[in-house]
Amino acid sequence: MLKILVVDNHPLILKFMSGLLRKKGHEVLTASDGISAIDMLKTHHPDVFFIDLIMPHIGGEQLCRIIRSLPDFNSAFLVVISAIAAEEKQRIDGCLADAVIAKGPFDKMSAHVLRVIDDFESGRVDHLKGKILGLDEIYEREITKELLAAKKHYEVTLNHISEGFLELIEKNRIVYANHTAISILDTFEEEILSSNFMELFQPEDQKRVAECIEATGKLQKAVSLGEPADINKKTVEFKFIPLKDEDQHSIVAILTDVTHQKHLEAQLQRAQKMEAIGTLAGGVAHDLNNILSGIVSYPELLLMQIPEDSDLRAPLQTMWDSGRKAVTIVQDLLTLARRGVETMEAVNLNTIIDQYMRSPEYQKLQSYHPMVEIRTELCEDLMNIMGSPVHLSKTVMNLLSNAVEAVDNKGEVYIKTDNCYVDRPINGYETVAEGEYILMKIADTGSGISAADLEHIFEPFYTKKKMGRSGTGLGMAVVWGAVKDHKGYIDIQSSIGEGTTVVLYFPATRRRFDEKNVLPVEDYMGNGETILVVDDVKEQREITCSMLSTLGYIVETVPSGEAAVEFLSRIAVDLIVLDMIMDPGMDGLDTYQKIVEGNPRQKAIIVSGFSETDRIFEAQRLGAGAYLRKPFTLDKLGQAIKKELKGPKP
Amino acid sequence: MNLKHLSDKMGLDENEYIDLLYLFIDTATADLVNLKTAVSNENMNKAAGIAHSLKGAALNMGLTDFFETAATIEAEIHRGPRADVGQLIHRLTELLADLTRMV
Repeated sequence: MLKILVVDNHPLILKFMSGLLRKKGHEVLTASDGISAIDMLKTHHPDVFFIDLIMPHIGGEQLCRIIRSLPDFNSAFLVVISAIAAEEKQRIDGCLADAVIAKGPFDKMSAHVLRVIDDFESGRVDHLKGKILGLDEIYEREITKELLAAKKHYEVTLNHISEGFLELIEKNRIVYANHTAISILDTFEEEILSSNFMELFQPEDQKRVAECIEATGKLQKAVSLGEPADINKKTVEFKFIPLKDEDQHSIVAILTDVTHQKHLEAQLQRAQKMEAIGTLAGGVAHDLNNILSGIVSYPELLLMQIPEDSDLRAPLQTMWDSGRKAVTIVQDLLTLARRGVETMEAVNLNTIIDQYMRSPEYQKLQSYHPMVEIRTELCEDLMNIMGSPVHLSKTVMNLLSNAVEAVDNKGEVYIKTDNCYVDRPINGYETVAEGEYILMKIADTGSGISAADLEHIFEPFYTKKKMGRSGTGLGMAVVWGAVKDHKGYIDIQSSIGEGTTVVLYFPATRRRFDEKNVLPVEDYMGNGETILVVDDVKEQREITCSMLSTLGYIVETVPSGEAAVEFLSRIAVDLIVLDMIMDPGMDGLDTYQKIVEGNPRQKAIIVSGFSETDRIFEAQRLGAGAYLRKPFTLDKLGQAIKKELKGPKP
Repeated sequence: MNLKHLSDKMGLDENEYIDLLYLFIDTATADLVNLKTAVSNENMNKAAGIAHSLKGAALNMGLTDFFETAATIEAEIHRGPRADVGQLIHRLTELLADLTRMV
C-alpha cells in the first residue's frame, strides 16, 4: 500500500482520484492548493504525489521544485496531472516530475494513473521520463494557448522589471515571487514560496512591517514602509498594495533595493562633511601659520648666531622642536583643507614606504610594539604615481602606526603594493572608478573597528585611541585628504576581533622620477641683490627680512600691495617676495598685476599661508616664480630666490 | 442522456459516477454564478478562466454538450472584448438543470 498525496484545486479531480486510488488499497491524502500540500508534508510522508499544474497561489511547477528541495522528499515520485499538457510541454519539462498525465475523460485518466502506480511499484519508471501519458487523446487548443500566452506575458513583464514583487496571502505566506525579488532576497524560489514573509525581517523591523501590512488591508490602499529595512545586508524599501477581487484577497509587496543608492548618499554626505571640515581647518591653519612663523623661524636664526657652548642653545632647540611639531599639526590641517599638495612629482610608493621604514619614527614605533611583526610585499616593478612625497609619507606613516597600534599585544601588520587595473568600478567604502592604479594595502590582525566607527573614521579628531598617547587626532583625516588630493580612492574593511584592511588606490603614471638636488647652503647664498618683502603681517616681514639678510641680500620691506607699487615706482629691486593674502587692500595678484604694468620683467616669488589657489596660478601666469608655503625654511627660501634670480626675466 | 451509459463510458460504476456528478453540479452551479458576475462586471479574463474550468470538468465527466458549450463561451470571450455570451451561459444553465433533474 502506498501513501499518495493528490494536489488539485478542483474538488472533482480530488474526489475522482481518491476513489480510484483507495479502491486499489492505497492511502490517499488530498490538498486543494500548494500551501496546504506543503503544510501537510510537516506531518505526512507520501510515497507518490499527483500534482495539478495550474493552481492558484503556488502552481504545480513551483510545488514540484519545492518538494524536490526538501531533504526528506528529494527522491519522491512526482506525477504532474495537467489539462494543458499539450500546450505547455516546455513548462512541464521544468517541473522535475517523474511522470506526466494529461487530464481528460476519467476513463482515460484512470488507465494512465493506475499504469503509473503499477510502474512505480514494480520499479519500472525510467520509460515514463519525458512522456506525457494521454497526450494523443487530447488536442492543442488555440484558446488555451491564448490564455496561457496572456499569463506568460505578465510573467515575462514581472520577471524583467527592476522592482521585486511578492504576493502574500493569509498569515503573510508568500505565494509568488518574481525574479528580482528572489535576487534581492538572495534565495531560491522553492525556498521563498510558502514561507512566512515576516521571517525575512530582523526582529526589530517585524512590528512596523506587520503594522504596515495590516494598514494596507484595512485601508485598501497602497502603504509604504517608512524607513527601508535591512535584509541580507541589503537596504530594501517596501510598498504594500492590496489585491482584491470577488473571491481573493492578497497583498503585493513591492521591493526596491536601495543599497547602492544609500551607499552613494552616504559617500556624498561624507565627502561634503570632509569638504566643510577642510574649509574650516584651512582657515584656522592660515592664521596659525602666521603666528607660528615667529616661533619656528627665530629660534633657527638665533641658533645660527649664538656660540655652540651657549646655555641658551638647549632651550632654543626645544623651542624650535616644539614649533616644528606645531607646524606639523598645522600642515595636517592644511592637508585636510584639501589644498595642501604643493608639488606633484613622479614618486614611487615603494620608496616612500622604504624611507619611512628606515626613519627614526618607524624605529620608535617598533620599539613600542616589539610583538607586532611587520611584513612587506612590495611589487618589484611598481609603477610611479604623481604625488607629493611629503603627503604620501604622512599617509604611510599614519596608516602604519594605526595598524601597529591596533594590535593589542602579539600580531601582524602586512603592507603590500601592487600595480592594479580596475576594469569595472569597485563598490567598497568608496566607488573606485575604472583605471590604472597603484594599490597599497595595509592590513592588521588587531582589534578591528565597528561598522558605526568606520562611518566616522576619517573625521578629524574622531579617535578611539587614548588621548595624548599618539598622533594629532588628524591622522586618518590627513590620509583621506591626501588620497583625495592624489585623485585616489580608499577602501576599508574591518571586523571586530579580526582586524582591519585599508586599501588605497592611486592613479598610476608612466612618468619617471624627478631628480632632486640637495644644495649646500653656499649654493643659495645671495650676493648683495636687493629684495623687496611685501607682507601685511609685521612679524612675517621681520622674519623674512632676517632670513634674507642672513643669506646675504639687501632687504627692503613694505606692509601692503599699494605701498609696494609706490616703492617700485621710485626704486628698482632684483626680486619681490610677495605675500598672496593681504588685507585690507590689494592682494598679491592685484599687486603683481600693477607692478608688471610698470615693469613687465619684474621678478617675484609668491609666499602664502594658504595652499595654491587659482589666484596664485594667475600670478605665476603673469610671470611670478615659485610659490612657497609659510612657514618656509631658510633653505627653501634661499633656493627659490636663487633659482628665480638665475632664471631669465619674465 | 443516460446515467448508466455515461458511467459505463467513464469506466465507473453508476453510484460512483452519481457521486461525482453531484460534486460536478455543485461546483458548476457556483462557477456559473461567478461566470455571470464576471461577465456583467466585464471581467473577461476571469470569465474565460471560469469557462475553462467548467469545460475541463465536463470533459472529465464525459458531458459532451456541456463541454462544447463551455468551450464556445471561452472561445467567444477570447474573440473580442464585446463578446455576447449571454445566450450560451443560459444554455449552460439549462444543461445543468437537466443534469440536476436526472440525478
